[in-house]
Amino acid sequence: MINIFPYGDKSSPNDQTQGKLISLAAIIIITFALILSISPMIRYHGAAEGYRFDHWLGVGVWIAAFGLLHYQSSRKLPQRDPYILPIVSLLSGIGLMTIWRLYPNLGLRQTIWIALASAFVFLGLNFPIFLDYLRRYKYIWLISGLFLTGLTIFMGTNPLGNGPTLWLEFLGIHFQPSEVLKILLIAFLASFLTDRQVFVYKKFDILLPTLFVIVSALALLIVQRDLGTATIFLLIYIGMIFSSKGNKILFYGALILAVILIGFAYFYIDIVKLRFDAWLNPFSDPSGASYQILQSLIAIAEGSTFGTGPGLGSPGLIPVAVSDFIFASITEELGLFGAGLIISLYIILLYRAIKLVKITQHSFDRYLALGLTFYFGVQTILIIGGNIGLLPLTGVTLPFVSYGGSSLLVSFIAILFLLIISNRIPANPPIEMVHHRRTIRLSSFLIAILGLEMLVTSLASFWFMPSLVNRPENPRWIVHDRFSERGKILDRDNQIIITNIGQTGSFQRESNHIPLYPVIGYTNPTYGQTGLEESMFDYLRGYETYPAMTLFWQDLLYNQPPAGSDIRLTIDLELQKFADSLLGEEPGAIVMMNAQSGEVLTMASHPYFDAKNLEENWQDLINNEEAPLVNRATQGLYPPGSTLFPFVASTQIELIQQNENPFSIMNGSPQLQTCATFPGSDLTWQAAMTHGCQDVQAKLAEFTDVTQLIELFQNLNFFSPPDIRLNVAQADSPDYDTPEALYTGQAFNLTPLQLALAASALTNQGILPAPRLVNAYQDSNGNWITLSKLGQNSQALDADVAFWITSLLETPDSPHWQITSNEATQDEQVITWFIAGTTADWRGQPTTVVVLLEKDAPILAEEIGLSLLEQSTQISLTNGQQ
Amino acid sequence: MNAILVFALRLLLILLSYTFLGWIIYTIYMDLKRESSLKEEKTTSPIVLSVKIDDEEITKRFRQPVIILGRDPSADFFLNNETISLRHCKVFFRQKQWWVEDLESTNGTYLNQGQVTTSTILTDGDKLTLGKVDITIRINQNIILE
Repeated sequence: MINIFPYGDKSSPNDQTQGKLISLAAIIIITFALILSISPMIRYHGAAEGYRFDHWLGVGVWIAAFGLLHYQSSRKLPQRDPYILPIVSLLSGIGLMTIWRLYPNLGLRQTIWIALASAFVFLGLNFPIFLDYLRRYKYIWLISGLFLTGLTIFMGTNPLGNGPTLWLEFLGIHFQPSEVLKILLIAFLASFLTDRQVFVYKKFDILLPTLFVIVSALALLIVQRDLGTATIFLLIYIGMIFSSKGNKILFYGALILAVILIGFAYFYIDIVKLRFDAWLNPFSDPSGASYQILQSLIAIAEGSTFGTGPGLGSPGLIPVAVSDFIFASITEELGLFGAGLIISLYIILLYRAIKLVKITQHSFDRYLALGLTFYFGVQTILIIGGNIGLLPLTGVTLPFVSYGGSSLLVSFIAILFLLIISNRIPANPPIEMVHHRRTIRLSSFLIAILGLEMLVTSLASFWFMPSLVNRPENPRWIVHDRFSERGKILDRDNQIIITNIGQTGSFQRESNHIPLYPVIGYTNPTYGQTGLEESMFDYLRGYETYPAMTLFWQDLLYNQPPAGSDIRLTIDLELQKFADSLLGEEPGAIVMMNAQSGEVLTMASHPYFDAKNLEENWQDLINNEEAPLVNRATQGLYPPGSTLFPFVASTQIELIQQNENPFSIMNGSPQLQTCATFPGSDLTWQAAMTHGCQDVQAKLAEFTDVTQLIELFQNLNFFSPPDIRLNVAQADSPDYDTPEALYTGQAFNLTPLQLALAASALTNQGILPAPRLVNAYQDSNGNWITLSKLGQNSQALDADVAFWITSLLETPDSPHWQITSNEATQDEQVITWFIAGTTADWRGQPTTVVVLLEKDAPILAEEIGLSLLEQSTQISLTNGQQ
Repeated sequence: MNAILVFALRLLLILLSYTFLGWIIYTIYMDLKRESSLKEEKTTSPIVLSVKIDDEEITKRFRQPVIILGRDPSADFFLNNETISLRHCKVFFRQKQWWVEDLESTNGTYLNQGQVTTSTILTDGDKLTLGKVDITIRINQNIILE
């Protein structure tokens, strides 16, 4: 292995090892940076963005900093541990590159902090005696640390402008005193314990003063809501007291204190309760309390084994990705391999620190090394555990990796201490002393927990990977849509309905016919997807249409799906435009379909919305009583009323044949005001049906057994939702308790689509067609592949019966039948139906149309329906009154 | 092209990272091994073997971890007696204990009158019998040689 940082000719094996390891770390970071440089070319497919170079500044500073530290440590501390510095270099290098990758402006700051922290260590290496000053003036150090932390209560600021005021501002630099307090506290405890060694048996001599110190520090932190740091303090304290004195009473006393404090915090501090609840139940509130942890888990799962590759993932979607959740950010892009690397590096670092505790000759050094072991161990465990959902989230930083100047500086100082301690150990230490076993056990426990965290990480990125990645809370499909075009949506003649505008990185949906949005649906980063955009997602995004190998390589190389496949609808855009213009401003719906094939030619729902300005109009849209977001054709439920007449009539053919007109079955004259439109003075069966005379229908239905009616309606699929590639309303179930409501058609509700299908059965020889809205998709070779219907056609009525009914209903001089009906809904609103279809006399495509208006407007409904039918069949129709 | 290049670099990144880890672990392992063998040497307790052949008493103190007893002049503990094989038995230090093991001698090795068939632990004051020769064992526990 080459050594970029040779140290003279007389370099010792120690220096060699350290130099070679740092050289290797440098090569790793350079490789990382190289990938980051090229990654925009891959994401943008060579368009828009070029290579990026800004982060090389960070690489340069990093190499210089660790080169100098290697040089200086070899000179000043020849006996130091040769592994600590390389581990720190690799950790801080990976952290630095990740921060640059996420937010270049923060990357620049972190670069400056690394330079500063390294300069500090560089100077500190000249004064190893510094440790003794730390010990001698322990009270002064501690009090100044407490004082500075206390100062934040009065003068604290927050670099972000709001949030906890844990920082002090000095010359524009923000500094967090509680970070420094951590290390001062450790130093204080170490020197205190060293001084009191002689009084081993007087427990309270140790407990009381240290307890006073720790409680006052904790009080400060709790007042400032710096609970993460408070937790670390507490754990370090317990660890140090226990392993140094090994007194069980002390240990359990401290442990009980910790439990009481946590319990107290849970009930009195909201954020603690919030974090605990989110930890216990990460899926309970995916957009609120558990949002962060869930996004972190999803990011880890996205990384899977190999990671998306630096610069190719979307760790920016994780909240506070550069500090609290940097572990998840790294894992998304470097995968389980990256997570394993990070955790292993910490384990080795802890191992080396524990080794110092074991072999050092000086009491103070031992306690200090012990405290620093806990400092790194506890902090790493807490934050990684928080990222993977193993522990409640504590807002602490990942040492050396997370963004944050104070934390970085203090971690580097801690490393300086460890280096100095390791240098003081004689070259051939005598055998270890046996009585430190407890220390070793407790600190090995830290390593064991880190191992456990590795295991949990691999569970998230391997075992639970598919279920996490496919969660609806995973927003990465939005990024995919921006970088790789979604398929277009075309009408039956390949006219474009929805396409994309913009360029790689900023693709957006663009509609050529906005009124179709309730059917097409929206696709939006905030509100998700609806309509065809949702139901056809796997086709539009290409997951269903490309070979698995293509998808695999696309994912591996680009972390993007290929450009999505176009889909072709059965909608006829010309007819659709005509239908939308006819419906105008009226709230309502139109469904027109080919009665034989079930192909939907027109599906309109008004009022509609424009998906383009969804964010701005969202409040208006969801508060609008007319519900523009709902596709009324498939999701609106309305009582069918007297549109059921022809179906009811199909059960009483003989009765109708025996009676020339409805008068004879009615007791007295029928109430003509129940008809939707005036049926003429001589009421025929044809007129009663066409004009939706409800009491005639009800009277006729009385002659039929209820179970027979229910069976008929079941055959017409009134109680099961249609199988169509769209979200449809849950179908109603019939109300058996009130047969009267069943007779008048008010016992259950239907969607316009359901009624259009039933009407098609009349027109199409009794065969109820399965609906079809999506015709075909274009595969990766450009061929159109027909999509099969989801449902099956079924014989709902006898062909003879259907023929007889349509003949009875047929409008004179015109090959069509029609029914107009108006009903009062449950909420006292009046709606109007118009249904029509071609008859056997018509030689063209059998066609049906359903118009629904959410108001009492039979004439308008009839006008709209007939115009549409005329337009589609190109025949001139006469309505019944002529 | 870029994508393939980056993919190769990503593999390289993983490879290098784990080389880094593996290397640290390997060197630490080698360090540990060296230390433990160093420790082992240091903690070898001295053993004193005394024997009386033809009224001539021989007492010898050993530090090395393996001692060969036999009639062969090159043996670590040379015993000039007809009843003793050339390489009669082996006394060695392992797991902080001294052990004796017979080296397929003609007349066998006896420890406190019991024949030694497998490796057996020796304790202070034991009597080892090789042929017709008695050897007294003195072990000073936990004394560290410099």
